[in-house]
Parts: sequence; structure tokens; C-alpha cells
Amino acid sequence: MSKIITIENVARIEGHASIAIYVDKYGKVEKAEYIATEPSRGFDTIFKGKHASEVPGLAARICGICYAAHNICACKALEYAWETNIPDSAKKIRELLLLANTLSSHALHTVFLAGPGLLIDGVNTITDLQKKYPDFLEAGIELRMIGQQIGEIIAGRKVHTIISVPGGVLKTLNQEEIDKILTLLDATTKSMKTIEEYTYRIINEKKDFLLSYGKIETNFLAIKQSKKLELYNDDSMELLMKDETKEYLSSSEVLERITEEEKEYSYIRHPYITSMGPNNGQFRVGPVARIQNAKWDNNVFHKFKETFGTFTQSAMSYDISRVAEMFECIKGMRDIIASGLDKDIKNVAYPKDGIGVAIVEAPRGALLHQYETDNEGIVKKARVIAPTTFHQGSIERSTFESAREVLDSKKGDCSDEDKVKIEQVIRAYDPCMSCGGATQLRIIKRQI
Amino acid sequence: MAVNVSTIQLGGCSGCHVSLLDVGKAIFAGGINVVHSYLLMDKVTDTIEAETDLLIIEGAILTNKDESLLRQMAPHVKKVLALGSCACFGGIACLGNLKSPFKGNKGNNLKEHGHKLHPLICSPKAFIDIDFFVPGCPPPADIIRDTILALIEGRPVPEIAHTVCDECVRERNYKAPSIPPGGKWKTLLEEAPDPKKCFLEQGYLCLGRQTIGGCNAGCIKANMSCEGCRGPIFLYRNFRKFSDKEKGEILKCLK
Ligand code: SF4
Ligand code: SF4
Ligand code: SF4
Repeated sequence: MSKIITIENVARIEGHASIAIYVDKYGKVEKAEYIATEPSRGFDTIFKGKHASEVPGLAARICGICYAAHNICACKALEYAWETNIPDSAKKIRELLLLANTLSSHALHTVFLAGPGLLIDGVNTITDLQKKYPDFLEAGIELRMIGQQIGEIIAGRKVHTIISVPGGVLKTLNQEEIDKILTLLDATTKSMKTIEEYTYRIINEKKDFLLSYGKIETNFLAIKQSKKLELYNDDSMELLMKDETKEYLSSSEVLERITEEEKEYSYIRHPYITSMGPNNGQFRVGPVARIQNAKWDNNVFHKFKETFGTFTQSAMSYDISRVAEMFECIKGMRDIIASGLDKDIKNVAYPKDGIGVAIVEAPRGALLHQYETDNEGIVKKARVIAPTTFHQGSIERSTFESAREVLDSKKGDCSDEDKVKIEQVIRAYDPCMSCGGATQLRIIKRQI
Repeated sequence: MAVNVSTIQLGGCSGCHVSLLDVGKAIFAGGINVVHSYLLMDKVTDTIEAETDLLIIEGAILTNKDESLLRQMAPHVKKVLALGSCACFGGIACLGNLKSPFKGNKGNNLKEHGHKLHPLICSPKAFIDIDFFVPGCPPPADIIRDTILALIEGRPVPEIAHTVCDECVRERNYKAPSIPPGGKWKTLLEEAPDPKKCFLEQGYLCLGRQTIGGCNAGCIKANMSCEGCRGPIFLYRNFRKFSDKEKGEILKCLK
């Protein structure tokens, strides 16, 4: 008899998700469903009718882990809608906030969420990690703290750093604050060394696993990378196809290219590239999408390329690419500070009738916000597509692959260890379900 | 003696859990034994198996599942702490109640596994007795630390009964208008406010006067006016359970 194995509440991810695995009468896995179980908090309806000046602050509340990206992306989309420019230093401060946020988010994921599964087999808790690898946990706590503290120095609070408003930012940095940030950045060295060593150890011990577990073939989408980690400039989005051909798009072109498919079993839609169809047109975002064509220079980055090759389709490589990005975050912050900040940080933003689409690289990948406002700045329509939304289809396919590997020989049984093992590939994508379902589906028609 | 702590996330954004982690080593330094947490443990069942001394709740009641979860947990927990404004008042999630197309959200429920949207999004205090309220979006880490350490050590929980204005160092002549000049508050879309002077007196809306302090007016130091994330001060001494009448109203909505 065929049966359905469900894993309720996938652990160590942000928000609520379940998995349903369909097994046929011989015990072979037929299908897997990745289910967003919690309905949207309906940010599109919340934004509608509000004045645009309230939106960036509310948008941060979509997610308590990547708040900076939501806050900044909302500002950018409104600026595009109103054709407002922002001063150079404002851009730099926004980049600083994104980098600091990415550092702490990646540290959280690498050490608290993914780390225990990669270092300890079987079912475990944070207490096990504390007993076995205290230095790893310590390094994670430390790096998270540093990211959060830098956010606090810039924006006055650790979580929901909302000093970006349409037209720029509200505060620049004085010398004292810059010195504090530099001291904090210097303090990362030891912890980063620890994380780096553990990363090599994971690669050495589990190379085959990392290369093959849950592997699927998709396209990739990310902001075009250069010698540094680019999180802010969305002039040129790189769409990297399975056959390694590339295409460069603007953020509104990206939105035109994609369709979001509703699934009857999940609260989050599955986006794909319309012209390629729902199966072929899936694409992944996030650290692996960014690393594919990056020209960064740090040891973990080189080790990544050595292990996974210049172009990789591996799912577990996400866990390694985050560490490479953490090094780039620290370097990026140093570079921005070295390039100097001035007092010119805010232009006046004049609301007008318009639609704006912006993309920012959140820690988990490309994040898209779209707003339509009237002349007074009242929001008429809003839409958010978060990295986790983009990843729904890919997570589902990776889960299917890993479920096949783990369960096909088990004749329809699924122990707790097996469940934890299947969850591992989901966690590699670092899904954030409350971002993924930020808005319900409302298509904004372009008014020409 | 170690205290068994469970944390759960209802309809929230994880920000409160992140702020809890920001407490840093102090929470792992002993004294706390995490027995149930989606964010920190591998295997968790939906129900709390181990006896919990302190249940930390993040988020508002968003789904029917949230309600049944709390009802199931209630007998197993000794004390309950509402962490963050979503858990204390309903917060961001509650904004969904204000909009009629969202209200009741009919026809948007999933067939099988999904949880149904709660007919009235509200604070968990409607379904579980809450002993401690720590408001904020999210509450600053040091307030969380002080509260939890006080609970572990059996001291009274620190009281914060002043407003954000009391912590704010901006120049003011205490003649802040309660009606905006010219009938309209300035917004932050306009030129950046003078970082030295009171927002209200410059004509920008700032909720500092009505808001529970304790955050050291962090936003205001970053030249961002207070958006009142710690909740209204008049509620401070009145954090309380819903009255029977209010519960009746809620139940009426649920029918
Ligand atoms: S109170 Fe704020 S930070 Fe906490 S869950 Fe609610 S929205 Fe997130
Ligand atoms: S109204 Fe705002 S700016 Fe003015 S004193 Fe109070 S907190 Fe400070
Ligand atoms: S200043 Fe206001 S908005 Fe900022 S943290 Fe304090 S209470 Fe919240």
C-alpha cells in the first residue's frame, strides 16, 4: 500500500513548514511536497492605503533576520517609482547595513542552524554542539554579536535597523563610531579562523555528500558580482542558465520574466521563468548564485571553487558558500569605511504616481519589492517576492532527491534520524518562511 | 537549579528570537536548559513533552493551530513570558485585522496540511495566562536578559514605568504641539530632521511621549523618530488578561 510520510514543522529553519513524502507500495519515493503551512500575514493588504513613509519601517517587520534587506529594498523600489536619487554616502551606509546583517545572518545559519547537522550525526540539540564543539559555537555567537553590534552603531538598535527612508538614510557615522566598527571588525579574525578550520574539516570529511546530496539542476539569478560582494546595485541582474549562458536584466525585466504558480498544498507560490516552463524554468538565488561568477579573493572562496568547480549545481554547497561570503562581508565593510563617508546623506523624496521594482541581495538571495503609489505617496499596490519564494520549487525537488536517497531502501519506514537527514537539505537553502509568504498573490498590471 | 525553558514562534517574524539570541553567552552560561525550540533543536514534536518552567512566546495568534497549540501547552508550563509587541498586544500581525479583505480571509485556506487563518488575529493572552510582558519590536536584548535572569534568580522583574521621552536627550522647550503645525505632520520623506532638537517641536510625528521606555531611545539617537514599538505607556501598569466580557467578544467573532 502506498503511504504518505509527513515531517511536521521542519526544525531549525525560520518560520513554519512541513514536508509530505509520498511512498509507493514497494517503498519507493514517488513525490515530495514542501508545504508552507502558515498563511501570509498579508503585508500587501497592510501596505495598501498607507503613506509610503511608513512602508520601509513596516517592511522590515516581514523578517527578523534579514530586516535590513527588506527595509532598504522597499526604499529603493519607492525611489524608482518616484525617480529619486540618493547621495553616495547614503548608498554606502545602506551597503554597510546589508553587509553587517548578512554577516550575522550567515553566522546564525552556519553555526546554530546548519552546523550541528554537519558536525554531529543524528538527532541533536544546541546543547550537544556546546558539549562537543564549544569553540565553534563560541565563534558563531561572537560573529553574530559583531554583526548585530555594527547594526546598532549605525542604526541605534540591533534588530530592525530602519534608518533608511526614501531619499537616503537618516544618520551618517562620526569618527568615534567608525573607530568602534573598525575595532569590532578586527575582533572577527580569531572567530573567522575557527569557522574556516571547521569548514575545511567538513569539506574533507563529507566531500562526496556535499557534492551529491539533494543535487538538482536549475538556473541561477543574482546581482552581478565583481571583485567584492555586491548586494545593493541592481542595475544588472545576472541570469545564469543551466548551460552556463548568461543574460543581464534590470529588476523590472526580472519581474516581467517570471510567473508565480499557486500550489493547492502550500501557502507560498512557486516562481519560474515563464518562457521556460515550470520544470525547466526554476531558478535558485542566494549565496551559491552569487558565488558562481564572483571574482572574490579569500581562502574559503578558493577552496569552494576547488571543491565544487567554477559552476556548481550542488545543493549542500550553500552551506560552504556562506562562509566565503562572511569573509567578503568583513572585507566589504572595511573597504566602504576606507572610501570615506560625508554628511550628505538625504535628498527630499517627492511622491508621484508611479510603479517601482527593486531588487536587493538579502542574505538568502535576491529579494524583490514592487510598489505602486499615487501622487500623495499613498500605496495603491504592493508585492514582495522573497528569496525563499524563489526557492520553493528547488527546495521541493532537493527534498525529493534526498528522500529518495534516504528512504528508497527503507521499505516505507522513516526513523527520526532519517527525518533529520532529509531536513538537512532543506536547511541548506536556509528558508525563511515568513519572508516567503510575505504577500498574497496580487499581480500589479503595468499601466502604459 | 536549571530552569527548563521552551520557546515558540506563532505569527511573528523571528525578530524576537533573534533578539533573544542577542543576549549572547548569558543565556548559554548555565541556569537555562532549552527543552523545546524550533530554532535551536532538531527533533521537536508539536507538543511539549518535558515540563517547562518558563514558556517564551513570540508572535500573535495567526492561525487556528496557534490557538490549539497554546491550549495544549498551557497545563505543562509554570510561567509564561510574552516576548515582543506581537505577543503582548498583537503587533504587526494584527494590522491584518484592520483591512476587510483580509478579515476572516475566506477562501484562502489550504486543503490539507495548512493551518487555517484565525478569524481574529490577536495577542496570545486571549488563550493562555501570561505572567510577564516584555514589549518591543523586538525588545532590546538587555531587557530580555535582565528579565530572564531575574526570573531564574527569583528576583522581581525590573520595572520600566517611564517613557521614551524620559530617555531622550534632544533639546526641547516642553511646548511640543499635540496637533501638527498647519494640520499636517512632516514625514521623513522630506529633509532629514535636525538631530539635536525634539522631533515633535520640529513638526515630525514622534511617539516617544506615549511609549514605554527602556530602549534608551536608540532610534532617536539614529535620527529616526520613535514609532512606538514598545507599546503605549498607559498599558504599562495594566498589562492584564482579557476580561470575561472581552473574551466573550472574541468568542463571538470566532463563531
Ligand atoms: S514583536 Fe516585532 S520583532 Fe517580535 S515577532 Fe513581532 S514583528 Fe517580529
Ligand atoms: S517627542 Fe521624541 S524627540 Fe521629542 S523628546 Fe520625546 S522622544 Fe525625544
Ligand atoms: S525609540 Fe521607540 S521605536 Fe525605537 S526602540 Fe524605542 S520604543 Fe521602539
